[in-house]
Amino acid sequence: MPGVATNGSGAPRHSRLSLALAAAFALGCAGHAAETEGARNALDAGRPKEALRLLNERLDVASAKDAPAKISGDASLFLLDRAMVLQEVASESRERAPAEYQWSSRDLELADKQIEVLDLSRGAMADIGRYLFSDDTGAYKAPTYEKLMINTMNLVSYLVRADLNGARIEARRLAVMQKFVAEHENQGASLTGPGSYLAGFAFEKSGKPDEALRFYDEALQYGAFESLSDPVKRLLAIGSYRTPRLREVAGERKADAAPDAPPAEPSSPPPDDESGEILVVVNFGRVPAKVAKRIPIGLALTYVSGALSPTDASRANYLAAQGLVTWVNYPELGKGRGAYETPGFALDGAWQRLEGTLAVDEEARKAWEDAKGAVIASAITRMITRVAAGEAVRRGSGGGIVGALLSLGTQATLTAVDTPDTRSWATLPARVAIGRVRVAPGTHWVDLEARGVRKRQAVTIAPRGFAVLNLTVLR
Amino acid sequence: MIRIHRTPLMLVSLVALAAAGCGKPTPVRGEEVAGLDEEAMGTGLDRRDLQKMLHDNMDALQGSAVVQRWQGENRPTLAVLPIRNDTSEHIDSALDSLISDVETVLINGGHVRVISHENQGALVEEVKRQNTDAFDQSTVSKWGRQVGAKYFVTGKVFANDERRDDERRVQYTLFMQVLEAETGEILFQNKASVTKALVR
Repeated sequence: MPGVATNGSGAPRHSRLSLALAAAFALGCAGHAAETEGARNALDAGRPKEALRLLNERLDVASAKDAPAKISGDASLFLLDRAMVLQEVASESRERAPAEYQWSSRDLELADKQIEVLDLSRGAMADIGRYLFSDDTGAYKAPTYEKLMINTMNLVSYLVRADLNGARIEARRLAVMQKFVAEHENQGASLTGPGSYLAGFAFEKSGKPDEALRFYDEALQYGAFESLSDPVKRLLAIGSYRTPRLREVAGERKADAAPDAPPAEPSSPPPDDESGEILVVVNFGRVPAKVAKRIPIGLALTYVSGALSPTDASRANYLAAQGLVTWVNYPELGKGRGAYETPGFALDGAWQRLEGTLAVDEEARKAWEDAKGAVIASAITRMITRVAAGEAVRRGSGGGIVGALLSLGTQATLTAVDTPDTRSWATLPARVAIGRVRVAPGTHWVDLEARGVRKRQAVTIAPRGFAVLNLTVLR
Repeated sequence: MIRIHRTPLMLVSLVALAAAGCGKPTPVRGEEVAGLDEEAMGTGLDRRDLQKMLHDNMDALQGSAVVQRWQGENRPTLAVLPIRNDTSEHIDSALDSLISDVETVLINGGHVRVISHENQGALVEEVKRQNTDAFDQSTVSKWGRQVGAKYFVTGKVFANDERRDDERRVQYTLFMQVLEAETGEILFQNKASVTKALVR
C-alpha cells in the first residue's frame, strides 16, 4: 500500500527514518576551518612545530616523517597545510637543507596527485549531496591559484636541496598546469611569474638554455624581474629560443621596436667568469582562510541576485516573507596575514633587492569573489530544500504535533549536516618574494627576514655553483 | 498509523550513503585481489609499464647487430647506467628499479659480463648529476676506465603530458642505447612507449 509506514520486517517506517537521521548526524562533521583552527592559531603565535603536531594528529600519523595511510577526504588539504608548515620548520633550521624539505616535497606530491584526480572527477553523488545537504559534501576542488602554487612551492623545496632533477619535474608539471589554466580557466595567471622564474632557474642550472629561456620569458610576462637581465643575456648567447620580450630584457631590442626588428646593436653577455649565484625565496604571511558565516536571508538574496534561478529566488523570497527562514550559512574569507610586510635580504651585510613579490592572498580573494555568488546561491537552494523537505514530512504525516515534530526533526537534521565549505589551502603564504645575486666563489653570509623572523646562514659557493635559500614565515 | 512521505526518507538515505564512503581502506596482498597488479592507479609508471617497455627494448636488443658483436668478443664487460627522467612525473625510483631488471635480462642472456650498478655508487651519482642531453666521448671513455666496462647500456624517458577539460594523458617513451665506452659510439638504440591517462 503506497505511503503506508511498514516495511518487510514489519518495523514502522519512522524507525528507519530515525536511523537515517542518526546517520545524517553522524555525517555532519565540523567544517574544515574548525579542524585547522588550532594549527593556524599556532602559526599565528609563531609556533610552527605545534602546528605540525596538530596537523599530524589530523592526518593520524605519529610524526611528519610519516605519510598517511589514507589520502582521501580532506587528507590532501591537511597534507598541503603540513607541507607549508614543514617548509617553515625547515627554514628555521641551521642546516642548509634539513629533511623537512624532503617531507614537504613528499606531501605536496601526494596532494598534487590526489587533487588532480579530484579535479578531473565529477561525482554525481557529491553533486547531489552538495545540492541537498552541504557544500563540503564530496571531494575538494582546488581553485586555480592553489593548483599553480603546489608546483611552485615544491620547486622551492627541490631547489633548496639542489635537486635539479626533482625541480625540473616540478617545472614540467607546472608547465602542464599553466597551459591548461591559460586555455581553460584563465584565472590566477599572475601566479605564473615566480613559478616560471624558479622553473627557469632549475633548467638554467641544469645546462638547458632553451627550456630556461622559455620559462624566463613566461616569468617576464607577469613580472618585471630585473635580476633576469644578466641570466637572459648569458642564455641567449648559447640558446636558440628568442622572443621580443627576451631580446628587450637582454638589451638587444628597444621596447617600442617592431617584433621582428633586427638587433639595434649586438648585446654582449656578462663576462663568463667563475662566479656563482645565490637565489633566495622568502614566503611570508598567510592567505585568508575561509570561515563559516551566517548572514540574514535578505542580505544573502541581494548577494546572489544574478546567480539564483528565478524559481528559487521567488521561493526564497516567499519563505523569507513567511518568516520560515531567517539565516543562511555560507563560507566567507577571513583576514589574511602579513600582506603589508616588507621582507629583507642581505648578503655579507649589504642589503639586496627582493623582487617579483607575488600576492597569493589577492588571487585567493579574486577566486573567492568569483565563486561567492554561486556558493551563496547554493546555500539558499539547500535552505529551500530543507524547508520543502520539512513541509513534505509534515503533510505526509498528517500534520498535528507528530507531523510538526517530524518536520522540525527533518529540517534540523538537514541544517546540522549543512556545513559551509570552508576547505582551502590555508597555510599558503600571502606573499612570495625572490632575490638573486651573483657572488664570487667562497663563503658568504646571507640574512633573510620577514614578519619579525630573521635567519642568518653561511653559504659556500663553488666556482660556477649556486645555492637556493628559503625563509618561510606563515604568521 | 503514521504516514511518512517518501521524499525526506530518500534525502536522509542519501546522507547515509554518502557516509558510507568514509570507510577505511583494507590492506591486501596482490594475489588476494584478482587483477590488482593490472589496474592503473595513476599516470605514473608502474611495474607493468616498466616490464612492457623493458620487454620491447630488450627484444629489439636480442635481435640487434651488437649482440652478434658481443658473441664474437667472449662476453665483454658491460655496465648499466642510470636512466634519465625527462618526464613530468616523479618516477626516479621506478627507473632505478629498471636498471636491475635490465641487468637481470643481460646476465641471463649470457652474452656479456655485467658489472652491477650496486658497486658503482660514485659513478651512478656522477651520471645522475649529468644534465646534458648526450654523453660526450671523453666522459664515457673515463667512466669505462673507472668501472672497467667496455660497453654501457643507458637510456632516458620522455613524456608528452597533456591535459584537456577533465582528462589527462601522459605518453612515455623509453629510449635505450648501447654505447661503446672507448669511443662513445652508439651501437644500438631503440624506443618503447606506453600511455597512461586519467580518462572519463
